[in-house]
Amino acid sequence: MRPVSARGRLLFDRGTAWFLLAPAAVLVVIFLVGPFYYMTWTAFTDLSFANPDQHGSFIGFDNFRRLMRDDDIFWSSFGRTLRFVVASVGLEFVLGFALALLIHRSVRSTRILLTLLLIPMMLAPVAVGLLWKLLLQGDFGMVAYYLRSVGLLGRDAAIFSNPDLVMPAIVAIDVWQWTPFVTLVVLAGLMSLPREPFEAATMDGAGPWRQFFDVLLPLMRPIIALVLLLRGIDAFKEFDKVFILTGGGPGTVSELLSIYAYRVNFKNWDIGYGAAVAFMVYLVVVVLCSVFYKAVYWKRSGDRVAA
Amino acid sequence: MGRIDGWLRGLAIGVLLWQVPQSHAWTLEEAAKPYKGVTLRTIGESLPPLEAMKAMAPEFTKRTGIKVEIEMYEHSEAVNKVMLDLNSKRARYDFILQPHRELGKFVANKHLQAIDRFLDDPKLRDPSFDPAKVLYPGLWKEISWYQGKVYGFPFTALTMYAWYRADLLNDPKERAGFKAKYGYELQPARDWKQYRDLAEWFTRPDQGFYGTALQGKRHEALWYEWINFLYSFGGDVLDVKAGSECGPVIVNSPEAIESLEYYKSLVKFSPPDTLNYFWDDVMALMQQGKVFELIMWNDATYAVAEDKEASTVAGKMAFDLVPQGNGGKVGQVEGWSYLVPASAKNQAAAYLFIQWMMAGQRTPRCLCRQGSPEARLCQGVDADQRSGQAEGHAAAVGRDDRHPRARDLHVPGGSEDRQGRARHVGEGHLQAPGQVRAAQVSGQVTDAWERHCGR
Repeated sequence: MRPVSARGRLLFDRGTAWFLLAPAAVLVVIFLVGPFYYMTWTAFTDLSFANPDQHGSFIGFDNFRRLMRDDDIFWSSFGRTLRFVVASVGLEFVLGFALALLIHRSVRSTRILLTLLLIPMMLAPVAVGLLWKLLLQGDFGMVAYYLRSVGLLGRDAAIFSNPDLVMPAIVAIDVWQWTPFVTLVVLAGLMSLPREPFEAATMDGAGPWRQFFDVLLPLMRPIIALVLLLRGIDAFKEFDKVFILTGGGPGTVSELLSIYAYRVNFKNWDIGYGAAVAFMVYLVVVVLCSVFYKAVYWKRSGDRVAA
Repeated sequence: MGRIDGWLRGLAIGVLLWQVPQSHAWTLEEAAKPYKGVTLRTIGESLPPLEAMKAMAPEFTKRTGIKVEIEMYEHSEAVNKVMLDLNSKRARYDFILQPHRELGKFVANKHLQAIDRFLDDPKLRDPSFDPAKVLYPGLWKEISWYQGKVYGFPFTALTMYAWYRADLLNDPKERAGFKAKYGYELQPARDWKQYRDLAEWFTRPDQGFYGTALQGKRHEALWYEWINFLYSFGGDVLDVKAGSECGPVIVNSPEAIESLEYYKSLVKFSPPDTLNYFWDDVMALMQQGKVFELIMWNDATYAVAEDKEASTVAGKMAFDLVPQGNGGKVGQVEGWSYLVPASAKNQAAAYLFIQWMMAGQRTPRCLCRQGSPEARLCQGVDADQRSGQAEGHAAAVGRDDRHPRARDLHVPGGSEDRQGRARHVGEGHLQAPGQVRAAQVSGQVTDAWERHCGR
């Protein structure tokens, strides 16, 4: 049998790799690249299903200009979405991290506890929306009733009709649903940490706070970056729960960017402009991703410097 | 011979005369023969009228061999699904049931088949079916015609009017107390001041009872409710004669602003969650006996006023036109129409089914009892008990010209922004006086309409 040369082997490996990658690549092109290309193209057209003279002619950056200059609803939705992301992901992170630390240090058998904790996360967002809509309903909601009983909610107040309470309530529901996810990921990270750095820090006389800030947090940085990124992207795209709970109202008090994009596309049927709105959502998500990569890169480069 | 000839000639003429009407007599079975085995598919709002159609369709199938499949969805979903189907040219539906506001957009985008083609076809047209005689002409023209062309027939005739708790109006204790406080008899409101007085009088939060309930959710319901106030106060959206026209925007007129200010003033007599209600919620509140008065759709009447299994106030309700404002006592005209998509595969068979539904006396009594949501005459059903309701319906369908009609507009594009306009009206609700005034809200609605009119 003739031995295969190194070059031949390489070519064979490459060929096999391309062959094996092809189905996934085709799927990616069909289901990701194709629609994204179409969305991007549509954002530069005037396509509207409602107006008869807008068949999708190329209009350059008109939609983006309108978005940037004239659309106050877009900007208010954008700001609201950012505030929602910061508040909900921030709270989820703090609570989830604290809970994970508590479980890691105090609970020996975590199986049952984790199963119970994960229940909210496993519920479909629509189910969560309906559940809380009923619990907080102004006339007969159970939670609303108890809040009134203990004086936390006025007799004539209803959470989803009160502009001051709607967003805090939505943030609280999101925190209720997603804190377990943060707990789970952080707990997995804590369990995988090496003991040696902590033992060394103890021997050097570092107290618990010092160890937390100078050892644990730096070691957990990739996990933290990952969890913040995943939750950030997810929260930025939040739609189902809020749509079920309030539909973006009252007025526009809870209209997040995804709900606005939905309205432009599927209520106003202004597809070209809606694509521009959706493109902006994508752009923000891309920025979030780049922040994540930056964080990881920063960690790796730090590792290389240390080495 | 001559006698026999004459006799034979007479016989031949007799046979001919007997044959001629036989061959020309129109029957559904004969007209449907070419389409036997076809399956028609349609879509509409999941409400009793459509359920009734579903119950009646097998009779049509039995006579014609044409099957009818009916898809029922919630209001917005039924509208969205049709929109996607028409734009994708998938032609899933052979005929569609759609609300008034969609008509202009469909016609402008050439999505619909005008039905005069079928009406002029002797093979399809049932000679005994005369839409002008069967339908309320005002309603038909308003919701199924566009720019002088007929695109369908009304499926439902919807209107909104005032609902009251008759038992409370007749309660001697309430009457005495009310008169002592307001100086006039407790009675259905004649004007908007009286309407607010009633709302105020019956608002008793400690008993979980409220004077009224507004449909303040960000939803089409908010827009439809507010236009009752708008028209009654003498305002309008556009200065036009027909819903298909795009004239000067007058929704920021002093009358419109006044109507919005008044509308906002009712929030304090509504349950705390009123800004999260749409039509289903206020109907449920009335069924539970938690509200004294409402402005509500006629097709909910049966569920509230008569269905004792569903409603605690069955038999205790009274109805009237919305109170008198500077614009008069208005009756809102709205409704869904049978329409045939231009891309539909079985247009003729679809027309036959629609005609069959329209031509016969196929309105079940249960439908009539829901407040005459049918577009055809449906009188005589408890009309004496619900004279206000009957009056409201008559005004809405144009049968009674004494009252102006509040009609929504269906210019292309304009129909899309109801939610947007509901948003503006909703914002008007939300802001404390001095922050966003009704004038500003009306200004925003004006801008939206200017855009729809291409200005």
